[in-house]
Amino acid sequence: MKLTNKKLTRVFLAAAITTASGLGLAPGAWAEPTAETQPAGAAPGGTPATATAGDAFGTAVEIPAPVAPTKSIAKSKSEIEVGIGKTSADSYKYGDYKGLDKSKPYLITNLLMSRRGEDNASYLELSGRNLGLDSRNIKIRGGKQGDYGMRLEYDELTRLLSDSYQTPYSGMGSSVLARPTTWTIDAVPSTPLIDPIPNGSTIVTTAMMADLAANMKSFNVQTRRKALALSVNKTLPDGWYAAASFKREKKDGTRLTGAVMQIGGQGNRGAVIIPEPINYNTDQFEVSMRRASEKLHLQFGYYASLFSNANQSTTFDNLFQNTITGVGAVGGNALTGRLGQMPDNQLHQLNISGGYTLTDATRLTGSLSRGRMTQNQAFLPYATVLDTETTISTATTPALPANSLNGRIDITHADLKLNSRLTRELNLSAGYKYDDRHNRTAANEYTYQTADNTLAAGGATAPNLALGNSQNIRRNTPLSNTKKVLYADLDYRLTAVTKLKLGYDYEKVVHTYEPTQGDREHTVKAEVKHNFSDTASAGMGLARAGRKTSSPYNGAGGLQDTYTAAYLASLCVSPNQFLYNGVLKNCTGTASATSTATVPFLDTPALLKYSMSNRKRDKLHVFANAAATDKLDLQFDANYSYDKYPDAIAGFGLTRAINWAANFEASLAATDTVSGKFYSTVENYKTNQNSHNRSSCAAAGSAGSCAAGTDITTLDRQNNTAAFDPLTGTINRSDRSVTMGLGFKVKPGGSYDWGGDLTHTTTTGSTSFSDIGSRLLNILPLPDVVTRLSRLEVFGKYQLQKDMALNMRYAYEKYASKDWAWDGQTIASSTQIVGTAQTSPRYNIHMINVSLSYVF
Amino acid sequence: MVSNLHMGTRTEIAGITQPRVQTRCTVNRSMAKLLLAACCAVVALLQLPGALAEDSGYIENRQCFGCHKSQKQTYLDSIHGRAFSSDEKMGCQSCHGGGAAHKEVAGQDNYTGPMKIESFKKSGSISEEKNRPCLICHENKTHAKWRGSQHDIGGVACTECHSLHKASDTVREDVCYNCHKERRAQASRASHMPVKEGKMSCTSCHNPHGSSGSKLLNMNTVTETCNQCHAEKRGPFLWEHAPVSDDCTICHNPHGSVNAALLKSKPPFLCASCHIAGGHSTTGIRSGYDLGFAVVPGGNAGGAASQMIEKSCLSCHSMIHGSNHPSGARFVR
Repeated sequence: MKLTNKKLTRVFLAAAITTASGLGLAPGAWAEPTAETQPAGAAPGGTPATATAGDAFGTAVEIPAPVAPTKSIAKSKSEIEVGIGKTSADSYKYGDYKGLDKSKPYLITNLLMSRRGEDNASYLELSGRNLGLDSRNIKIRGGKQGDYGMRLEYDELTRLLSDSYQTPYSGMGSSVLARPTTWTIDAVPSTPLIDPIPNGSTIVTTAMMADLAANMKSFNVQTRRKALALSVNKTLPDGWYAAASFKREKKDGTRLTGAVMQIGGQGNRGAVIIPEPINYNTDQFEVSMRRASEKLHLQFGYYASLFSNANQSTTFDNLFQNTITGVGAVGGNALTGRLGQMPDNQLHQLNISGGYTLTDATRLTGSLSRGRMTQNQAFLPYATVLDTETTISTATTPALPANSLNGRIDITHADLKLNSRLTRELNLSAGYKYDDRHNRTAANEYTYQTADNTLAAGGATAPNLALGNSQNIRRNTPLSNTKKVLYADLDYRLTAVTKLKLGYDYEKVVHTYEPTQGDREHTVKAEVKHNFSDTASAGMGLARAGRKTSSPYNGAGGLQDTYTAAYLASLCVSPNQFLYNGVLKNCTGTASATSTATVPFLDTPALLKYSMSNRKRDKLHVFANAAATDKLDLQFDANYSYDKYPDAIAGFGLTRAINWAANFEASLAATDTVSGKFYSTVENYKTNQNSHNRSSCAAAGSAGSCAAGTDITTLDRQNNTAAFDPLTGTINRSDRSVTMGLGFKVKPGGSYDWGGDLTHTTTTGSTSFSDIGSRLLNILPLPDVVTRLSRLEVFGKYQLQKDMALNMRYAYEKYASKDWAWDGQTIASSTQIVGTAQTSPRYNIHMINVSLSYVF
Repeated sequence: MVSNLHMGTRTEIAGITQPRVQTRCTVNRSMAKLLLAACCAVVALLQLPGALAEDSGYIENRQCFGCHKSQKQTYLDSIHGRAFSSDEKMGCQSCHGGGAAHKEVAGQDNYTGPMKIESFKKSGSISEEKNRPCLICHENKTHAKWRGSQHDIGGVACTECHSLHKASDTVREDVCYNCHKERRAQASRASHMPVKEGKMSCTSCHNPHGSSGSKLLNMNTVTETCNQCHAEKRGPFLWEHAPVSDDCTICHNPHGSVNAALLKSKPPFLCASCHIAGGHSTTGIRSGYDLGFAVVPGGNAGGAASQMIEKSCLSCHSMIHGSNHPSGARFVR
């Protein structure tokens, strides 16, 4: 056959057309071939069976059925939900964080509006959640994917702390709290008020406050945070990327805080729980530049956090004031007390981080960060100087050493990590971390008055200030610490289904002004994971760590840095001597039957702070997962950790901490339309700590818990001798929790779907005592601290029409709690604290929400 | 269907007939050149990614949707779908790998062998292989610290947390609870961060993709992380409380606690684990006796001890996170 030009041309053209069709450039490019069977399989992307749809309301959103394929692949979906809800009773505890503390009807308003460019990468999203409540959130995001972006967000968070708090003060919510206009101190309560305070030496107690009960007023304590955040980002040429963000958060309201007055000599005080006004502002800035290439990633950034507090102090009238002045008057009779509030402070930090892919199998990453924290708020005076008692002698109270702290702490962080796939089966990850907190604040000597004590610093019976041996002459101790961590982890794929891991960590800590100079800890880890089949796997992990102090634990460590030599000398009896900053000093204390200490100490020398003492730690983790059937997934895991502080076993402080937890979870995809889940967690955290009562105990004739017998002296305590045992004992604590949840969803695919959740959490905090010494006669059991929370929720959605649905949600929540810190106590249960009449919260709340949602 | 081009051998791959041209026809030279040029052009065009060579292992993107209908719309709605949907960018195969072999076996009746495609199933290939497609784009940008991080070493695949076949891939704490089950229970305790209320999430403090800090914290240290929201406790203070400057978790359990204020133990016992000082507090063993006779039979006739009730030690030592008051050495001011 002869191919003429015409025929060849036709052939070429036909080939060209066919090619174009094959490339998918002709209309109908997305047309599907004839249907073939769909492969069975799991949800795309390995999504867990229990994952929720990504809508803003936590409920499944129906995705519209695919339209006939066109060139456009953009789908923008928006949804708005409007409705009304109501709870059956007021409750602060129920409404905490949620803004649902009142039983009045509330507006349900949620929205999610999403728009994406038809043929470009631009997007705009507006979301709003709980707009009718005090927990509202509004967010706008927009930009062009891969080019630039912007985000603006407003958020509110309410913390409802107490709706049962009472106080006799007026001015709540402000920084000046005044006692009631009529305030009578009846020195002999329960008798007619004919004998007011007889003399100035009377220590006022709550029982004497004749007008206390009549003046108690309720005040709801809460704080609210309002935050506005803006962030922008831009992709620049040559792999550069820039981002900046700013967030301003204002926190206001009140929170309960203790405020104490020294109302006599040593050991006499009166405290009140006041609503401290909160008026905080925190601004956070962040700017970063990043450059990424195929192998190298570099990022430079600056972060700043600026905190300011509109209140420098809170002033409160002294409810324990003994108004009688003159000879013999009790010290500590200031008219008002003043509590300092948190000072303004700033943090500025520069950060550099980077990563370099050395080979396909090896990558090096690291970062370096340098920051500075500063605080320079003007000092308050040592005490309020509003009283006119003649015992006040300002001449004996030295001036402040400075007008402000001029505080500065430099923080440094550096880390380097190498990750390398040495072979197909073996992976190494090793690194080093360095964190340093260098406190450059100056140390000065402060001669202070405790809790607005109107006596000269040190109290009326304290040694003369001129001798410098007052315990109220203190030098501040700017704390610094450095942590270095070295670690290495080896992962080995023993087989295709078995993976082993070995790891080692080394941590070294150095700190200042503490009982030790630092410590070192070695940790060894091992782990194995095995896949028994496609549907079953299990594993176990072990870790053992040993921490040792780098110097002998000195319980009195830090004292020499903060107290004067003269004061420390008064704590030990003559003619003993002790070293003070390398210089030998003579003890000046007077020996007695019980006072025989040979070195100065305040805290019991054998008491070890658990965060700094020797420790042995063991951890165990086991897990097992199995798909019992193709519909039922089971998961189990358990964790156990045991901390032992061997030196405290013979001494005092935390000796053991044991934490174990067991979790069980079952997920059921019963049918295509019915799914359910059950989970349960049991956890117990137990501690033992050795402790003691009293510093010494004299023989027959001693009051209180000391029985007649041999003297127990401060030297016994100093050396923790066997003679001290009768004053010692062990406190055993156990915090247990049991949590269970059961949920199900029914999505038959028609006009409705529905489901329910049932959850229950019980926590119990128990305290018991053991090995109680023979001289501790008043150790009685403590009640448990208990909380019980149960919640039943049923929800349903009915599709009224294609784009509109009716949502209903009903919940019943029951909460009960007991706490011995509040329950059964009255406003005068303690002679030294004005009670607040608070009770442990409990509620039974029914909640119903009805709303319409519209998709467009 | 392409018309035959003269007895050429045809290899049919994915519905495209690729002729290997053989002809015994006689043509004049100019037409032969034109024909040759056209054939070369066709062959060149057929080498483009979108029109796939016989042995490339890839197929046309639309052919994936022939079987995987349910994934089509959700994928195309997603950010990755919008970025990679074209054949030029390999579409589904940009993550799942070439579909030619998979198509061949998946269409066979009663086939039970390997599906010859990366399905990202949990029980499938190792996590490093699953994560490779993601890290090609994401490693050097937002996830530079992924490799060697706890989740990477733990064998967690990106797809165990992320669902790429969705318009919106919002990963919240429910996903984290799949592995970290205790955190769900702790978040339900009486004292908890507002996670279950939806005001915070795990990523408020942690970066699951890797970080400089320990335990995948967002910032370098525990205190820096906590101070993001609690900046008032940052200091510097005149009088510092050592555990505050060291590590907040010495006293607090941030995931939830049985005790108020997220404390690990209830005051006064928490405080007594480090302090049994002189003066009033040389009573480290407070018991029911100290709640007073009105609450505990046999209790103190003088009433409740101030160290036990209300805020316990903090009723007086309220500035426990640090004090800037010159008279605050004992944190009472």
